[in-house]
Formats: sequence, C-alpha cells, structure tokens
Amino acid sequence: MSAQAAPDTVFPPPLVQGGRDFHSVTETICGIVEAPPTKKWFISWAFALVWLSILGLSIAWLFWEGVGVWGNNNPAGWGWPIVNFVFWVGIGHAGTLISAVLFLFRQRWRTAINRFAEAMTIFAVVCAGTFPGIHVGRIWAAYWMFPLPNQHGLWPNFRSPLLWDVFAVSTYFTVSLLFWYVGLVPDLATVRDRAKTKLRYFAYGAFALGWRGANRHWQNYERAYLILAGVATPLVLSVHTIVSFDFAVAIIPGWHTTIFPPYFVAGAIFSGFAMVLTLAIPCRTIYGLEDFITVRHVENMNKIILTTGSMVGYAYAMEFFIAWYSGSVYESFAFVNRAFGPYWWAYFIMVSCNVITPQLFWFKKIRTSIKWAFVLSIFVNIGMWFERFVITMSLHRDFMPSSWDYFTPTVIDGLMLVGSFGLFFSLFLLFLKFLPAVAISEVKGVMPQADPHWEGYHDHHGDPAKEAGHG
Amino acid sequence: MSREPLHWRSLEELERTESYQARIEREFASEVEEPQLDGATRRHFLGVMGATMAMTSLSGCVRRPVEHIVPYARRPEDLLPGVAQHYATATHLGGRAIGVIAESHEGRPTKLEGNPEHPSSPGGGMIASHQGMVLDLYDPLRLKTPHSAKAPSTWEKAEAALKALFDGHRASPGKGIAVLSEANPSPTLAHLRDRFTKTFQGASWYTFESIADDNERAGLTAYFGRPARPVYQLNKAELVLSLDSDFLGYEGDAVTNAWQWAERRRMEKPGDPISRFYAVEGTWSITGTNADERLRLAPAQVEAFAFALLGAVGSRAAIPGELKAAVAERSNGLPEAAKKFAAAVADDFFGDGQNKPGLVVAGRRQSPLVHIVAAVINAALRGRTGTVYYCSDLSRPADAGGDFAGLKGLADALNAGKIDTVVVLGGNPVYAAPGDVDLAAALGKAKHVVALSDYHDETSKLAEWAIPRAHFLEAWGDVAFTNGVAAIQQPLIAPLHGAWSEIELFARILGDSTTSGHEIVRAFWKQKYRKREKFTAAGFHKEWRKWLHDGRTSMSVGGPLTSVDLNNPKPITKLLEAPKPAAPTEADLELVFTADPMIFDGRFCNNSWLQEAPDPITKIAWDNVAAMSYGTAKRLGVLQNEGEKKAIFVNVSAAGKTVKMPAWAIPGMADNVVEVHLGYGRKFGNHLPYHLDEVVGFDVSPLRTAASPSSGRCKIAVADGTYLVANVQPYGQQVPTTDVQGFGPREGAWGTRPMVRETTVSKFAKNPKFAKPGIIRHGEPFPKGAVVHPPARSPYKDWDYSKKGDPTKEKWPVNHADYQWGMAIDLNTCTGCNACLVACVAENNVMSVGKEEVRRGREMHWIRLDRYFVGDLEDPQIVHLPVNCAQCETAPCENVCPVTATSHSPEGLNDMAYNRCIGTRYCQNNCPFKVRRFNYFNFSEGQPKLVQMARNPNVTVRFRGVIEKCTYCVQRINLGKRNANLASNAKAARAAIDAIQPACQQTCPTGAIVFGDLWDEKSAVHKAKKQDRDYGLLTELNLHPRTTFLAKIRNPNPKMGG
Repeated sequence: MSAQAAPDTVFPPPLVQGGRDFHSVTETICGIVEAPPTKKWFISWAFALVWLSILGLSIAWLFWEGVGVWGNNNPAGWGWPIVNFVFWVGIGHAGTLISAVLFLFRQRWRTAINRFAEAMTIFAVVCAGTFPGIHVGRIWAAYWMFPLPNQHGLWPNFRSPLLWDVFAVSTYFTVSLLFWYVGLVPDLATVRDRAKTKLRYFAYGAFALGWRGANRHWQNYERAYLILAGVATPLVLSVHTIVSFDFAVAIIPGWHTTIFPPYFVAGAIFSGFAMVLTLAIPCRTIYGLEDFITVRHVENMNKIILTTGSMVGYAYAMEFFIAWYSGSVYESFAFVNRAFGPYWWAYFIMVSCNVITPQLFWFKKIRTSIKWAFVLSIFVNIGMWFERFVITMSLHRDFMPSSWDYFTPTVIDGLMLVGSFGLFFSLFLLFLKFLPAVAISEVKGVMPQADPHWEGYHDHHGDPAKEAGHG
Repeated sequence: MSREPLHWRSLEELERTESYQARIEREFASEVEEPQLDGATRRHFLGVMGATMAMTSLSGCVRRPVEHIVPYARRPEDLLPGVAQHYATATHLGGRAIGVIAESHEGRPTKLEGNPEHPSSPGGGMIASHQGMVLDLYDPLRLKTPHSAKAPSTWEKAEAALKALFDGHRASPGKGIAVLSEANPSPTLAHLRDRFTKTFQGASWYTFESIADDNERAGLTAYFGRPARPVYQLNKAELVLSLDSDFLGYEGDAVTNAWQWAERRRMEKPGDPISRFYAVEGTWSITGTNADERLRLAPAQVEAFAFALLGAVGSRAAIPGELKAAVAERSNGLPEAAKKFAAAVADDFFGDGQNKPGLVVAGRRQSPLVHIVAAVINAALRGRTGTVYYCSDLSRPADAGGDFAGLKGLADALNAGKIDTVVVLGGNPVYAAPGDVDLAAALGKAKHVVALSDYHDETSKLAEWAIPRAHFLEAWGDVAFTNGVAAIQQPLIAPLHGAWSEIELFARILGDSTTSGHEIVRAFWKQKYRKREKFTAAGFHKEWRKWLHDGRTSMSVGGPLTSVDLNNPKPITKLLEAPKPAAPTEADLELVFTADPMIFDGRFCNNSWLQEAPDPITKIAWDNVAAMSYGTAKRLGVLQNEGEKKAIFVNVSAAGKTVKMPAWAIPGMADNVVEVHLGYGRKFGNHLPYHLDEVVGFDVSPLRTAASPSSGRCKIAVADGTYLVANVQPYGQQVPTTDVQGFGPREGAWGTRPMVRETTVSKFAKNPKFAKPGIIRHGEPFPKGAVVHPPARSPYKDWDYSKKGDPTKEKWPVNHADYQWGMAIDLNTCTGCNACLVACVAENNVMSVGKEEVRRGREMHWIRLDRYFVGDLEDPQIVHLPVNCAQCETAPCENVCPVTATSHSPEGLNDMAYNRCIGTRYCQNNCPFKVRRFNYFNFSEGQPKLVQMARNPNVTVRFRGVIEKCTYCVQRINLGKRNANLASNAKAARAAIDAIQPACQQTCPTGAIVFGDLWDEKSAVHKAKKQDRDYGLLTELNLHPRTTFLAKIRNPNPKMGG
C-alpha cells in the first residue's frame, strides 16, 4: 500500500450525474408520469397490444383445438412453450437479484435500475406463468396441480418437480410483487402529492397507503424492505434451481445432470441482466434518464454479464466433460448430438451468443460503450432462448434410437413466442408511463445531498465526489 | 251404538286444554329452541327456499335430448349385457381361408381372433390384414343400396332387373355371359358355379386376383400335369430355403407357416434343436429378415440361383434330365457369391451323412421354373421328410389358367364384342388391372355389367347394376382351407345396410326359389353329409351345430393329392424354352410389384387401422414408395433424408407408362432392383377427424403387364420435388450417429445400444448367458463398442418372484395382490409382422390419426415394432423388436406426474387414470422407451357412428389432452380374474388366470409373446424369464421392466463364415 495513494482517485464518480439536485430528480422522473403519453408511446403500446392479441388468439385456438397446434410430438413431449417458460423465468431473475441481493450487499448503484428490473421481473414471470398453465393437455383441469381440497381426497404428487415448480414460481411472483410494491409506496406518495388532477390524486393516493414521509413510516419502510430483501434472496437461488429440477430430476440423457441448479441460476442472472440492459438503454435515451442510468451502471451490469456468461460457458464445458467422464454412452452421445446432431445450429447460436460474444466485455472500451452493450445484450437474450431450446430438445434423441425424431415448430409456436413479448411489452410500457421508472426516494438516498454532512452547494467541505464515494 | 275407544296419553290431552293445544302445534317443545329467522319460522324459510329452488330450476331448465333406452324386457338366453360373446366363423383373403373367432358385444362384432381349431391358425393367430377386416364392416363408404347406373335404386328393382337379364340369357344359353370372380374358396359357391356353367353353357368364368399365384400354378400344372398347391409343413423342416418367398408375411397360408416355422425356432438352452433358414431375395420381406443366411439377389436372378442349386446338388438327388441339361445355361451369369451360397445350401441339404428334413419354398413372384425346381428338390427330400404335400386349388375352377391371362382374355373378348354381360363377383378388377389391359374401356363395351361390390369403386362405378356385397360377418357362407378342411362362415350381425353374398347373388342368377344364404349353405352341406353318413335330420342338425361351434366341419373338400397324381412328372420343354430372365443392370432396372403387407392389393385402402400400421420394413405409413438398395439410390442421387422424412420424387417408367413417386433406399435390397407396393393411389375417405380426404400413395398398376404382372423392367429418372412421408422410425440402427440424414456410420464412437441382443448358435453354446450382463460389458458377447455402464444400485431389494411375499413381514415393495403380471417376448420367433400392433389397435380403441399427424410423430400405437439394420449399408441384416409399455417396477413416469395420474397397481401394472391426467406430458418425456402416447387432438372426434360401432366397450375412448399407453390389456386381465373368482376350484381358477392373453399375445402368429403371472412357477412367462436368454431393456436405469425379451439366436451355416 503506497502512502502516496491519492485520495482523489479512490472514489468513483457520483452515481447520479449532471449536477442534479433533489428537485430536478423528482421533476425528471415524475415528469414522465405526469406528461401526457407521447405519440411514440402510443404507437409502441399499440404494437405491443397487437401482439398481445395475437397471443390471446393463439391461446384461444390452442384451447379450442388442443396441444397439437404446437409442434410437439412423441419423443419431444415438451417444445417451445416450456422453452419460453424457462426463458421468461430466467429473465425474471435479475429483478430480485438487483433489488434484494445487491441491496443486502450495499451495492448502491442498484438504485437507478432496481425499479426497472423489478417491474421487468414481474412481467417476465407473468409471461412465464402463462406457459405452464396453457401447456397442459386438459386446460380445464390445470388447477389440479394445486393442493386444493377435493371430494376425491386426492393430493397432487409431491414427488413431481412440476409441482415444486408451481410452488416456486408462485412464491417468487408473490414476493417479487410485494417487494416491488413496497418500494413503490414513497414514490407513489410523491406523485400523489404533485397531482394536479383529482383522478391522479386518488389513484396514486389509494396505492400510496397514506404515506406521509413520517419518521415512523420510513422506519417501518426500511425494516419491511430489509425483511423482504432477506426473504427474496433465497428465492433468487431457489426458483431457477427448481425450474432446473424439471429437467435434472428426469432420467433423460442431457437432462439428468447435477450441474443444472447452479448452471440454471447463473444463466438466469445472465439473461436477466441482459434483458435489463436491453430495456434500460433505449429508455434512458427516450426519457432522458442518462443522469441516473449512467455508463457506470451499464458497465457494472456488463461485468455481471461477463461473469455469469463465463460461468455458463464453464457449465457448457463441464457438461461435456462429465458426459465423457461418466462413461455413460447415452450421456456422452446426448452432448455430442447437441453439438453435431440435427440441432447443431441451435447449439452454435447458443455458444456464440452466450459464451463467445460476452467475452468482448473484457475490453473496457466495449464494456463502457452503450451501443455495444445494447447489441450484446440482445445477443445474450437470443442465446439464452436457444440454450433452453437446446436443453429441451435433448428429448429428440434419447435412449432408443428407434424413437428418435425431429421436432419442428408450428406457426402457432412462433406466434406465441412473439406474442409473449407482446404481453411483456404491453405491461412494461404501461409501467413506464404510469409508474416512476426509477426509484425516486432511493436515488435521492445515494445522492451527495443525502449525506447529513453535506453542506449545500458551496463546496467548502470537500469534493461532492468524495462524499458520494460511499456507494 | 259402538264408540271408538279413545287412546290418551295424559289428562291434558284427554281434556284438550288450550295450553295443550298450543303446545302440540309448536314444532319445538321449548320456546327457546325455536329458531327465528327475521321473523320467518324455520318451516316458512324452508318453504320459501323450496319454492325458489323449484322456480330456479324450472327457469334454468335445459331441454335434454330425448334418449331411447330399450332394455331387454326378456333377456335373450345366454346374453349378459357387458359380457362379450365369441362365435366361430371363417372367411378368406385372396382365396386363402381363415378360421375366425369373432368377439361380439351386444350384437356388434368388434374383434377378430384366429380360431385355433381351424388349420389356418394353429395358435389362434392372425396377420395384420386379417385383424383389420372387422373395421371394413363399419366402413361408412360401403355401398349401401343397389345402384343402377350410378343412381341409388331399390332391392326390388335390382332383383327384377337381374331376373329379366338372366332369363333372357337362358335361351342362348348363356352365350355372351362372363363372370369375373375373386378367388373364392367357398365349396357352396363352387357348387353354384358348376350349376351355373351347366345352365348357361355358353358362359365363361374368369378368376382374377391382383396378387395371384399364376406362376406357381403354371409351373406345377406343367410339371405334375394337374393343378397343385403346395402345403408346407414347416414344423417338420430343419432346413428351409426360401426362394424369394414371403411365406411368413402374406404368401400362402402365412399364419400356419409362421406358427410351424416358429416351432422349430424356439430355443431354451444351448443344444436345443433349431432349424436353419436360408433366404434368397432381392427385396426385403419379413421372411427374409428372419433368415439365418440371406442372399441378396435380384429377383430376376433367383431362377438362375435355383438352377445353380440344382447343379450343386448334382447327382445327390434324382433330378429330371431336362432340368439337369438346362442347369449350365440357366445358371449362367450368376454372381460368384450366389454360386457359393448355392453350393453351401446344396451341401447343407444333401451333404454326406446329411439326413435332415428340408424344404424349399418358391415365392409367388418367381417364374414357373423356380416352382418346379422347388418341387423337384422337395421331392428328392421327401424320402426323409414330409415337409410338403400338394392339394388342388379350391379357389378357382380346375381348368382355370393364369389370372392375368384370363383377365386379358376377358378384355379381348369384350373388345371383340363376344361378351355382352359381365358379372363382377367382388374385388376391384378395373383398379387392379395391369397397365396394358384397359378393363374400364372393355367393360364399357358390354351391354350389362353387374358388379357385386363393397364400394363405389373404379369397377362398380361402371356397372349397370352395382349390388352391395355382404361382409363376411353379415352373411352365411363357407370356405375350404388349402388342405381341404372346410369351415362354415356364420354371420354375427344382420347386413348393416342390406347386402347380398356371392352365394345369394348366384342363387338369383340361377333363378332359384331359395335365396337365403343360410338355406343354400346348409342345403349344400346337408347334401354332402348325406352322401357320407347314415343321414337323419336330427343327426345332421347336431353335426351342423357342432360345425358352427367348432368353426370347422368334419368334412373335407379336395384334400391332399395322392402320390399317384404327383409321381409322373411331365416334360416341361415348353417352359424351358422361355427366355432366361436377364439380370438387371444400371441401365435396365428390375421393377418388382409386391402386395402391401398391410393393405394387401388395395382392398384395405379405406381401412385406417391398416393404413396407419407402418410397413414392417420401411416403417412408412399411409404411403408406398419406390424402394431400392442403398447403392442404387446413391447412384441415382435419390437418397432420402430420413431425419426430415423427406423423399425425392422419381419417375418410374415401365411398360410405356410413367409413375411419379418418391424413392426410398432400404439397405439390403439387391442393387438395380426397384420394389413398389400395390394397392395405393386411391382416395381414402374413412372420415378421420384429422385426415383430409385425399389420395393415399401412388397407383403402380399401370406399370404392370398382363404377361408379367409381378415384375418388369423400368427406368428411373429423378423428377422434380420432394415428398414428405410418414416414417415412424427415421433412425434404423442401434449405433447412434449425429447424422441427420440417417445413413451415418455403422460403427460409432458412442457404442452400440444393445436393444436387440443376438448371437449365433455356436456362440450361444459357448456363453449361454450372453444376453444377461445387460449393458455392462463382460467381454465377449457384445459387439465392439457396446455400452459400458456401472450397475445401478437401488436402495430397495429386487422382488423375488419365486415366492409370494408375506405382507406381514416384507417391507417395500410389498405386493398384496394375488398375481404379478409380466411379459416375455421371444425375439427368436418375432417376425416383425405387425399383427400385434393392429390387434392392439382393435382391442384398445387406439385411434388412427392420419398421415400428417403420423409424420409429425404423433401416432398412437401402444405397441410398436422397432426395426434395426445390423451390419453395413450394402448387405445388412434386419432385426425386429416389439416395444410396448414395460410396466417398470420403478417407473420413471410415475414420480414425475404432478397429479398422480399414473401409478402402480399392486399387481405390478403401471396404471393410467385418464380422468386424472391433465396432460403435462412429463411422463412421456421421462419414459425411456417412449411408449407413452399423447392425444394431441381429439382424435376420436366426429367419427361416424358406424365406425364407433367397431369400438371395444370395455376400453375407454380417450379424450384429447391425455396420455395413454399399453395396459397389458387390463380389461382382459380383469375378466380373467373375475372368471378365476367364479371358478369352482383352485385348478379351474388357475386355468382362468392362465387363459388371460393380451391382444398382442393372442394374435401373434408365432406365439412369440407370453404373458402371465410371475408368481406362478408353472406359468409360461415365469419359465420364459428363467431362461438365460432373458434380458430387459435399459435395466441399467434401474427400471425393473416387467416386459423382458428373450435374446435372438441365429443359426448361420458355419461353413459360410457366419
């Protein structure tokens, strides 16, 4: 340790840039909510609604005709719906990770993106939850998955990973929703207090739960937030662990692997952060949030993407190694078939997008480039969808070569995948318009002004950058 | 005045005080207890509620459909609703008789089984096509009323018209009448035929079958001087040579052949006798797949092979000089390998000290000379065997020539205007006619065409009168088996739409007063019986009832020809003058026409059960293809992509006509040979909910010629486009490969998956437990690269079936049941014929889903036949593996179901509760055998009521969205258990249990499947599983499958390097 270590270089730049004060933060973020929707917003929303309607129509057609409208066949009993389910659940991971885990680790930069990420989580879980619900053959009996008392005296099968899935995903959804909502309360009150119309006053007021910003309120709020963060943290690990059990508990070569839980969790965080970037980068430009979601945020997220992407890459390699090392020919063939079999192209896309391209983030220039981050985040989204496709398609060549077959998706499969994005963006655009997209109170908390020792803008106490450096 | 005595309980009551009166009017004794509901009393409330409910239900009332229930006011004797009845009857397919036990539910025949009392079906087995016949009864497209010039007419008009027509011919007599009949082995019809030809002397009678034995008839007639049909006794043959014959598939009496062949193939331990079976063929027949030594040789060269064999036999057998003299010339040009093969076969048959009974079977497509050579060799072997005897052909008039020559003759006579009235007796000759016989145009020249037909088909559409033909389950008749044993065909149901049998039509043509089929058949047999025995009406009645009960008569027609008939071979100079068939070349390919193993000559075209049953070799359903060897397809550049199920179109040109159809390579066919199945190119209209009305496959009849209907020469040119086929098994090898097209390396880096385990007799002797190590390699027996996997260990101990568990002592798995069901399938005798598959469809209401759904991999079959190629791409062998639900004791499907829709029964069955299933398909994914099937659509929706009548009422028809799979025919198990419970003693109870047969086992023509109680040490299945050959599939996954297999043992000729 050098005695000459210049204190100036220790502290990173402030989290909120542009020399903002509290008022301008409130103005910028509430301004989005209060201003009438723009034409662009309406066009985007209409576009999303069209796809949502297509999803709805596809589901209606599915209910009318049966599961055969998809491409599923005999070896591949699961197809795109399950791929989509795992994909969306994976995306839903970043929110809780950012809000809960980073909160517990005191990563203050999270404040700019946590609201965003949590909303994304909730909508992603909504999309995810759609698929297992509709993918059953007899939709009208799907509720038998829940342990409801019934005259048959029948319980669901507690040994089935699908049942665990039901509990895991619904718990995750509930906790994420609560967490999100609790975080929203002070900001809703802010919007309420600024309301110029009666409707807005009552609408936001109702959800603000009478928040007055009292000391007692803040105390309770902080405590509730901490508890929820504590509750949500294990869920980050558990949800995708259990989703991975859907595969790992089965005996199918390519599924039956113990590496799945950590590998799935890493992959989920990977895809979740990529999706946060995909959403945040356009939003910060459109809504002028550059001061809040700074290059530093983008860089931090890219670092996580690089880390988790490498973990996923390690998992891919380890799967191959174990497949060979196990001596099980079924297992080793399953993996060789992934890479060189009929779905080699899917495997190629997966590895390129998930392992190779994120490695570019080793370069600071790329890591700190907004454009690169956006492009690579889209790659990761694509790659992670294909990862789930590759895994699910282990089914197509399992034990008995006689039952091998090829899975080909149908138009409905495609419409439902795109339609699920319609559902996601319909909700997400509503969120952007009607709720504060950045956590106002939390962002203010990480501004230099929030420091009790901060003494105004006279700058006689030191560099604000230093003061902000606690984050 | 008398007074009623007054009964009183208290003084108050006696006095009727006011307080008493008030008290008894109250409901509750104490004021406090009376509930008060907003001023209304409980009674008032209930009253209002009742009225409200009545009003609500009235206003919400939905008009229910009127349902008529017609219960039996007096139940017919011996009929218990819900208990199936079984009747013996008989029918025929292409002139070959079949004894049948038909199952009937409340008057609806639903399932056919072979009649073990009848010689056509020694084990009660049937082939797939036989199984499908019951569905034809309920075909909605059947001709329902007589049609006059395509317009519906009435029976009265038809009868009157026929009477007028044939009365008009009586004067001539019969000049200008021609009858074109299917081959029909009915003695009564033969009798009517004789009467007809006497009455109408000028009439001519033609018999035509698209799949005919013309060559056999021509050859043997020339040789023996009289028509003769060989009847094989394969159970006596230790050496069998098939010369391009599919005697195990559909040629001849296939079920009998298969049963007898299997008798010689079962092995329990090393040293057990097993026959050696040689096959020489250019296309793949299921017979060839079961050969120990198979020679891949173009069908055109099989004749040369036969002569080479004669040459190799040399002086070791008596061979007519004429044939001997032709050996050198006729066997010329045979490939060296074939010559060596012939020499080895000759040595095996006639070697020094060799005294084994042998048999040569010539295929129906082979030239007359090949049939003669077979007869000669069999005659030479006869001293020591008895493997073959000859009978006269009962399905055709004695003086009949070849079917195709006859058909051509008929067309010529029609074109020459010599015939004005044609009676078509069943069949569809216009469709089946070869390309150079334009029967449709010829029939157009006849003044009157009367067609007795099943459908509005190509033939009956042209008829002046199209008369609906009765299904065999609707009409009385009789059939004679090849060896002469006759059986009565008794109906199980009145004609569904009104129909005549052939017999009933002829009675009318002859102007008989008796037109009832029953009367005619009975009268015929009465007459016959009268000749044989001392006749009393009561005696005959008793005998007749016995015949009906047994499904066969005690009388024969024809019967074996005596040696006197056969011992004076005639010179065959004329046949030897025929040009020798030339070997096919790259420029001049041989085109072979074969019957479709499922839909036969096309008569089952509208039968969804058979259309959906995949071809045993190509595994393609709902289509025919131009099959060729791998080498030929590669040379022509038309290799299919099996993974994508995509075939390349080719133009097959022969006999001046061209048919565009998809090419399909089958490794192991002879090079430069193209095989096409007959019977396709017709519209399927069985109203499957997910099948469009469309033409199925490609009609290849135009490529045939009357002179050579079973093979020809063709040219192949690659045509535009590709064609998607419904191939249910795109990967035909046990060596995994990442190759997409399906023709990857035959030796893989990932081992060979020992699904089918096989060895040879000599290796079996060295290592009797060769199949046992499972997937764990213990050295020798497995092919190189076999799977190596450590033994999986279960925390639970294996169940010992040698003794029943004591529920009070045993821990899991405690089976409190009395029985433990299990199945063993002997791969030595499984021929891969599909009979089990179709029987399962019939028994278990398995839905047909149509070509498109099959192509997408959604076929619903509960048992499938896996076909694997073993060896290289040029000359591989084929093995078959029937796979149904193995009812694993530790079933992977069970624990993943989130709603416990599938769980284990105490008897070891992996039960499926359709009503509980929500259709997550997790079980389907987790099934290592992939035997679970999902109802992707409501496949039973919208099927005509008529088709629904074919369903088995004891098996639920599954709705959309649920999984289904093999149940071991649990409905039959439960029936057996009920019978056992009702049995009077333990022995009878055991017999009832032993009588339980799942449909697949029941119909297996070779008896390859055994099923029963594993706890019963005397049961066949217990014994089978005790064998060293017994192995389970994928046991290393700790599945404990209840279905196991007896490994295959081939018996190659050691001198051939096998």
